Amino acid sequence: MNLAKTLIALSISCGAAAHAQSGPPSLKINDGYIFQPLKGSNATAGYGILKNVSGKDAALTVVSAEGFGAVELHETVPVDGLMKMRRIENFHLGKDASFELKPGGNHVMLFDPTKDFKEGDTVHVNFKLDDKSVAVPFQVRLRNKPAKAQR
Amino acid sequence: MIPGFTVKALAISFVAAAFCSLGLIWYLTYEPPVGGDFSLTYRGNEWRLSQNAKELNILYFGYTKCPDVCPLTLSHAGQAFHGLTEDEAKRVHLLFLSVDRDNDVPEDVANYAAHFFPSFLGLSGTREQIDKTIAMYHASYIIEKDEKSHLGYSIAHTDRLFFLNNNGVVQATISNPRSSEEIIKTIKEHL
Ligand SMILES: [Cu+2]
Repeated sequence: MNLAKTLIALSISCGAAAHAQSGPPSLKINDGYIFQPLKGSNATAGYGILKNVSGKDAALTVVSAEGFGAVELHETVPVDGLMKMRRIENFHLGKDASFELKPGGNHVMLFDPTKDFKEGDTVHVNFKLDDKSVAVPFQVRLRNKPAKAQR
Repeated sequence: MIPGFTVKALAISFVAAAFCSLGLIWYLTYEPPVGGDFSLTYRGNEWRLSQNAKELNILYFGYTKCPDVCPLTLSHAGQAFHGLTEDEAKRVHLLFLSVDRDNDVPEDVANYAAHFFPSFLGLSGTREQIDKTIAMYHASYIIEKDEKSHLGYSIAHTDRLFFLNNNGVVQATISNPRSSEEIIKTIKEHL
């Protein structure tokens, strides 16, 4: 094996290692969940509390999610009495700081599901802290729990 | 001056003043009724409130690709309906009107709304029908192009439940509903 080939092999294995995220995760989530996509809509949202545990300030971006065509970070803000959704291209997340995603506020917006999701499924959403990739698990929840026997 | 005349004059001016101030109070506090009959479509068929009204009709404006606010409000409403008795649930329904004329297929709107509670009706309409209904309830929406987003647009809209009587007149509203309790309470108050 010549030097060039060795270098290529090395860089590929490094890339693979980075992708597999060996070492402690740099981004954690508390109570991460995604609502099961509804029939009639191509969009759904994910919530939870993200925490930067990378040890340094970083810019948070969202890259992809398994089983969805596209994913974005959004905020919902009231503007002149209307509820308006805006894309957040990157979010400055300080060292050890948290970013809360909750209904009616910030959310991960997921588009065009490419498969069916069941309650309890885990969806890995791929984020980046600066240029470091990190996959974060979200549990699929049902929008409306079937009616409880209340009558 | 005759004393009797003075008393009479005083009494007349007093009564006149009272009527004037009552009129003024009425004028200052009177709010004309908001709402009325409206025409839309359901799964492609004509749908008119006056022909389909229940005792109580809850109206909400949104769009199916709204992933956050609309489903949040609709799921609180759905939960509220699950908390009604069978008889109460028969006398009220929710009307979800999609303002996304260009992207929401009527079938999708209907299926989407029914997901939150079986009797929820997902309505569509021509742009004119939608705008007329929106204006009638003093609501609004703005379709904004958003090239940075995958969807390519987003719709800012009123997040409010309108409780209508069978003539479509507003009895109550709840803005940004964030619990099912206040919805149940308002339904029961108006049934
Ligand atoms: Cu969004």
